[in-house]
Amino acid sequence: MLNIKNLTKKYGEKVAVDDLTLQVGSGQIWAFIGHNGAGKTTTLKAVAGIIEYEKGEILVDDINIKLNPIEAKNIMAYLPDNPDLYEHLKGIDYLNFIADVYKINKDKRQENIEKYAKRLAIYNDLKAPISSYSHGMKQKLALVSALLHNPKLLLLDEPFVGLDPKSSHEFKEIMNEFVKGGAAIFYSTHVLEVAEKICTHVAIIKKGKLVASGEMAKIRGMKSLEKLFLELENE
Amino acid sequence: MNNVLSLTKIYIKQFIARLASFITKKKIQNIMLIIFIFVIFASIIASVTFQFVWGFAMPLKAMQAEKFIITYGLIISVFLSLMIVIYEIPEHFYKNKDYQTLASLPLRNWEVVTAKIITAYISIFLYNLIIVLPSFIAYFIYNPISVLAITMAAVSLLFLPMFILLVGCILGFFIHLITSRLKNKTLFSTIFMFLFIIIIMGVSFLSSAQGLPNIFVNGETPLAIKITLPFIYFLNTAITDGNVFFFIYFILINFAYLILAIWVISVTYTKINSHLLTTKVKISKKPISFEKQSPFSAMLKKESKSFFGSSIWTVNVLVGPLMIVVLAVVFGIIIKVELNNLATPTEKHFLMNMMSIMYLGIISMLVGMCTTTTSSISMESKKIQILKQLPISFNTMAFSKILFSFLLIYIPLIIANVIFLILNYISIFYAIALFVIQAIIVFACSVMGLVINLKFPKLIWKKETEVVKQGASLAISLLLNIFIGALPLVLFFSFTTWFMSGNNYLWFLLILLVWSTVYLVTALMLLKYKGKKLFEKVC
Repeated sequence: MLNIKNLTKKYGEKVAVDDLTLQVGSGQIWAFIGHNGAGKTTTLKAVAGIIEYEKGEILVDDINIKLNPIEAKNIMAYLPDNPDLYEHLKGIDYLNFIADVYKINKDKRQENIEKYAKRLAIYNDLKAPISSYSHGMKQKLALVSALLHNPKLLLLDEPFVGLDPKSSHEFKEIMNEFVKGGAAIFYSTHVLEVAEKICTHVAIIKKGKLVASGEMAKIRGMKSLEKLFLELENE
Repeated sequence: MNNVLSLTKIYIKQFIARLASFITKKKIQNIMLIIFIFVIFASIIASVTFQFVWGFAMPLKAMQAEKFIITYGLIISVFLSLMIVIYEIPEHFYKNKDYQTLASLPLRNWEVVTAKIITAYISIFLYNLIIVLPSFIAYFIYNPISVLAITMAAVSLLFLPMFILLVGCILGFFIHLITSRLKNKTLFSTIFMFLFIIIIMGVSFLSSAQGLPNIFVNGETPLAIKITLPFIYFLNTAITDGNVFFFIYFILINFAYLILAIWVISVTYTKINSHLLTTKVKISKKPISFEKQSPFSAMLKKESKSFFGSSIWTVNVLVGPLMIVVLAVVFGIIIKVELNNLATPTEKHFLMNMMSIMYLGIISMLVGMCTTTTSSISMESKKIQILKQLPISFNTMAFSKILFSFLLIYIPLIIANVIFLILNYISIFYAIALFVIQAIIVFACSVMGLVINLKFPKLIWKKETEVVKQGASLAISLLLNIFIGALPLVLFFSFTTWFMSGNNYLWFLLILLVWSTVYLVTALMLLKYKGKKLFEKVC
């Protein structure tokens, strides 16, 4: 579903992502972990088509993000680490805007908005202006907007930040349902316990370089993910 | 096309929301009320602009050159509109916070660009309408009215924003093209903004200086205007002569501007925004400093870093001190030149006193326009929470902001005053009064600016211009400071003869000293008794 080949991205003198290669298949949930500034967000933004990169190739369902950005973006969704929503709009207006962009028909959008907004406990607030939302509510709204068009690939940058325990649990369920339906999820996180439980695969990035990647069970072996991560960090 | 409409709808809502939040702190849901308040505000601005246009329409009429009222009115409106949109347009297309959201969606480049162009056009159209209408009114007062002329004038309102849009797009493109590749983006965009403002002021001055004699002597539009602003020449000729062909040229050239603007933005939108998002990291070779500072010094340093870290804020405020220094030089030179032309000591004494009072009065009015405190609370945005939870007193926080604002204005003022006094030394009393009165006024304006911003904070904003250029706090503070600065001048001009006789001008200096002290005491009392409570409410 997602094929990253030799991705390199520099910020001036600093190499943010260094020759990163990774394949994410359908039905897989990948945890993308690394210290702050390791290059997680940069990688996700490059995959989402937000920033340009110097070297490499990114294919989403065999569609090149650089050559066919619209086709690629149509089948994926990206959730930024700190969603910047249009504050003057009401929650429902924002969701309708996103649904319009993805050309979702009325029945489907109603079904999906009701389903996900109710599950994430934001449905009753959809008529309120976004400016009145708390950080967690904005995160929930951004999550609902990412799920609206049933994307094949979900790119999530720290999706659990700001979510209450119930919504956090509910979103984990939604993630599982998505991958059972054949989608793929590639998400960055610092919550290793959650990643260990729900992810099928893991990728560990250190100073822009991928230091470990593959099936969760094989990568961590008998160790906990936290222990493995700390060992790799200290090397 | 649906995406363009959806996005345009969002931007228009954003525009209305910003307009409403500028007018009142409360959220206005009633669109009719917003329109009503906008019309009232627009009428006030238009009437002030009309007074200004009337000021040059009368001499043009006296010289039988009244048909050029439109040319002059439009040249002024172009420069005024450019000054307004100089921050708006570049920020609308580049470095906008919604770039990430839109870039991750399956939206085509042209769809986003078209929606942004439409919104920018509407915004410029509204600004332009307020500024241009008085010129047409003044023109039709002095020139024959015909259905064709009025129709052409009315239709032209739709096309006039296109030149401003093009210049805004090109300016934004150049600034961000160059700065997106640099490490010190903020510093360079500040310098570019400054350069552009100086160019606008220079071209404005040159076109009026070069254009007037040509119009008066030869009775025709100067070649410089025909080349640089052909649409104005075409429109003026079309309306004056009833020439439909020239009106078609006017429309065509404006369409060309629009197409060029769309092309510039379409080609550069993604590339430049992507570059802007990836800040180049400069790894400092200096060792890390662990020096201890007092909370007040730390707050002052933070204030300075925040100010100079925002190119919009820096340019907007520093234009004032720059103008003050320029004004000191201009005033000084004018007095020196004029004194040489006068024969009697009485005349020289009169001019010297008059100009020195004018200098003090005008500078006092100008300083009220450049305080940083009027937007320093709003600029904190969500960071105000950090400020509130720190173990520092309200006074430490408030006086760090006030002192920074004071230093930023008073240091250039010292330079300006020294230049002025070197060029024309009047008396030791005047010199002392100049420094003392100005220090009191600058301090008072800074304190009052903070009080007003605490009363009218705007912590949620998308673009810095919403706070730095359009905030309600800024507007209130500006009007108040102009009023405070203008009132003594009104008194002076009401009793000029008395103030100018003998050494009576010293009485005026005393009145000014008392007036500014009263203003300072009032501001300090408000800060003491209301400031802390207002700060506690801000969230």
